[in-house]
Amino acid sequence: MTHTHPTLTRWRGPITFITLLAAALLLLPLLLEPFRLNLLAQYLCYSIVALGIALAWGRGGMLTLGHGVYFGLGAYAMAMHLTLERAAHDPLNTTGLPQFMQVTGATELPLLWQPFTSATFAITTAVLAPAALATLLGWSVFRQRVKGAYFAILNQALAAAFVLLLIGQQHLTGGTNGLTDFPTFAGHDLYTPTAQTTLYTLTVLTLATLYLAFRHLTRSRYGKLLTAIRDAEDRVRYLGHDPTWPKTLAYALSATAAGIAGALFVPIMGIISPTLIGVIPSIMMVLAVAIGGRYSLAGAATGALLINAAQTTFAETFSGTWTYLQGALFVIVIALAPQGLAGLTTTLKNHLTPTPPETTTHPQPHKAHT
Amino acid sequence: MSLLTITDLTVTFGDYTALDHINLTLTQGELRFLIGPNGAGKTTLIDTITGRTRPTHGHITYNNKPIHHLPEHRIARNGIGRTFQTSVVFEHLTVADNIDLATTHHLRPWQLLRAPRTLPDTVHHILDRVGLTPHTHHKAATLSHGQRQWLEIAMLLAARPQLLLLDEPVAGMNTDERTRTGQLLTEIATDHTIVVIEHDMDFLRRYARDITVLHEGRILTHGDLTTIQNHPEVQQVYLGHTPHQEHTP
Repeated sequence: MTHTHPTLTRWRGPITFITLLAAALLLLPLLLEPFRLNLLAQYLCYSIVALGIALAWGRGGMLTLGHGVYFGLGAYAMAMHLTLERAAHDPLNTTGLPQFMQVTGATELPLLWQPFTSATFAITTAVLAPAALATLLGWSVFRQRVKGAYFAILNQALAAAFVLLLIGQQHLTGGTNGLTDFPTFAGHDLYTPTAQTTLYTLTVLTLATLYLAFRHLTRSRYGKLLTAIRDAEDRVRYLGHDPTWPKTLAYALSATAAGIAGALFVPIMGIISPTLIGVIPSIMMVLAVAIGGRYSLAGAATGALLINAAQTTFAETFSGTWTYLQGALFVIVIALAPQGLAGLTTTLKNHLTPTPPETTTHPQPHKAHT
Repeated sequence: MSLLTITDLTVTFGDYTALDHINLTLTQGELRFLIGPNGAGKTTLIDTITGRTRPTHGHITYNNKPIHHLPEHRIARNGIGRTFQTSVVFEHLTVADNIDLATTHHLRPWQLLRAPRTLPDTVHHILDRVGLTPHTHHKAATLSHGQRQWLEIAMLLAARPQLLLLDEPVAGMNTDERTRTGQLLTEIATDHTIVVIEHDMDFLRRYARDITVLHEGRILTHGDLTTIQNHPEVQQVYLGHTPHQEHTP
């Protein structure tokens, strides 16, 4: 939209995207040692979650404080399959049951676990279960016009309840220990550098695909309808639109992204447990988006990457103070840059290149959702 | 032909009766002004027609179909559009997108997922009609107060309603803007049925022919401006409440 180089401006986005993607796929696997590459893949999983949160919260105004649940559903679906694969290939395991079940005295595989012997079923469930739960919850809640803080609290309660369920059903879920130690997937050793590079590549490609898909959504009429609903839900009704389905769709897509991220996270991280998906991790996911910039998909994804990278780095050097630093960072961002890092870059860009006044207006925080 | 029929409509909020056995008929093509002191129930009447408030008693039919039980968006889809006292536009969308959004309520969800490259002709046409063409690609947040009101009317027109309910469309406007709004109203009235809530006496004198006076939830009288001004009860009501603002020599 600048008046100087319209062609250049038009291609700046695609060029940046392709450059970043090429660097991530071709360069980083060569530069980073396997351990660092594995860490990066973990952070990128959270970036995928962030894309979803940016869609639901940034665009749709739905503060989702319980995305750990959807991440967890995807993760557990994948972990159940990997656990069964290990049990099946363990020569010392005569029962074919996961180890934690033998401890609790089970003699045969629970009904819930049986279909997860199939990798296809596990992956399908990782995608569809979050989508289904979010559609069900979203539809019933948005139809009743529950929004704002009530919706946020409802989500958080869901996260708390989900953790309780996981811990309570120890014979099915492995309880507080969760599920861990996944040596193989489809017969391939997951601990080799090649496998880790493949998983990393898969994560990058998933992130890129979802980014493009969500970006298209936000630019479509649907995306504009979503923004309109965020800013004035009632007004939308009097134009003949029912806000229920657009909100439900955004929420369900957001949950699906989290589920996919969870499924990728498990073979990369090698463990899933209630502590990784409860109330606190759910809040951390939203926090990363707030810091990166909830109105920008790229900002949200970058925020998640940076926050998780910072967490590892600072936790390595001074473990105790990081939590306080993180809290302080959040307060600073909310107080000084409510649009996060993405908002700061736009402001900076507008200061450097003079643009017509109408392009310099940004979405202002319309309600105190934070 | 009667477009909207309100029969024995009562709305109560707790002990307070906002509308008290209202009977009102609007015929196709009518331009009806609705006046009355604060608390007379003007906005409540519009709210009830559009589904924002539910009737305690009585019913509303539109094109001979009852509508008072329908959700807001269904009533809107039937062809009833409204504005609000404080104009509500989608500030983070462009002026064109605001209008485009109003034209798309009949589309199926998957049809909305496309990103159109050009603006539909109807949007251009409506922008032209309300005089907002120079602002087509500006964010709605950058519009002046008067322009926002026009954008809201444009959004209504884009939804192709038969009946428009306008809640104080010239409130806060300067003289020029009032004149333009008046002209716009007269022009729209040629192919729409319109109800306007308005306080401004000067505006009423220039554009209003049919006026209904509401007081304490009841219809006091109906007629043209002279009839209304000479009506003893109307004089009493206005002199009793806000003589300096509403009563004219």
